[in-house]
Amino acid sequence: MEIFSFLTYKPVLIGLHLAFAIVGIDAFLWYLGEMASGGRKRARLKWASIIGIISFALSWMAGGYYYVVTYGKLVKPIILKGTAPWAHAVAMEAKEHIFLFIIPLAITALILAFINEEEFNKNNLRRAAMILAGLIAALGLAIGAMGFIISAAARWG
Amino acid sequence: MKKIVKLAYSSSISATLTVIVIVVVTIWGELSPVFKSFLKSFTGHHWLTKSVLSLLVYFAGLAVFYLLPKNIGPHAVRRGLIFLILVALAGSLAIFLFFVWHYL
Repeated sequence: MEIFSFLTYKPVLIGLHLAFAIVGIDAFLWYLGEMASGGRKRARLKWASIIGIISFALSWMAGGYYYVVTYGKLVKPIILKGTAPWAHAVAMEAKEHIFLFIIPLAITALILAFINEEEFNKNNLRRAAMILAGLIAALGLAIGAMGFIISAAARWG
Repeated sequence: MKKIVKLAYSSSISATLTVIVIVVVTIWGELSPVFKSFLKSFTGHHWLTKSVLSLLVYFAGLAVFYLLPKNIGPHAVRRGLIFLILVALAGSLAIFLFFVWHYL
């Protein structure tokens, strides 16, 4: 099977979208854990945020391709005719737009990982960096929950 | 002031600007079919245009705020991050509540 047609096969696309999102969320939970441990190993923070950014970007591409090519034509009409049209009108609409906040937030977290200990402490950034990492993970989880609602509405009407 | 600290400050301000632009463009697009068609005309899909726009605004803002000859005070980065966190929370809530209201 040709690689592009395999990757764009609908269940594979959804699987990739979800899997990369989970890795992205986990990466920023790792970042948060590193900060919460009291120490600050910059190499680990850099890896966590680079993995998180790449994963969220790949999730964006897989989910975006599915949304633009397949969802509007095949899935949206089913949801709108079902018993929970709000799953599209609220959950999908909110999900697709709130997702656009993630990459700028994640790149900001990556840049913070490059600041050395002296400057980091002088600028009193620990608490804000932890809240930022937690927010990225929380937004990812909220978007994931909305994705579950959308899938459930499409499956069971 | 280290360059990386100024970059962090610039990123927090630029990310805040990106969130605000996405919220405004999204709500405006839903309220104005003409504006939504205008967004669609760039890429074939309004959401794709917003995706590209989010990256353009963020990276352009990052470059502009970094290159501005502005001295960053000792608490500016922390304040920039806190502002970003609050705006991202408010922006998420605004989008969610707007679509609830729009549906009802």
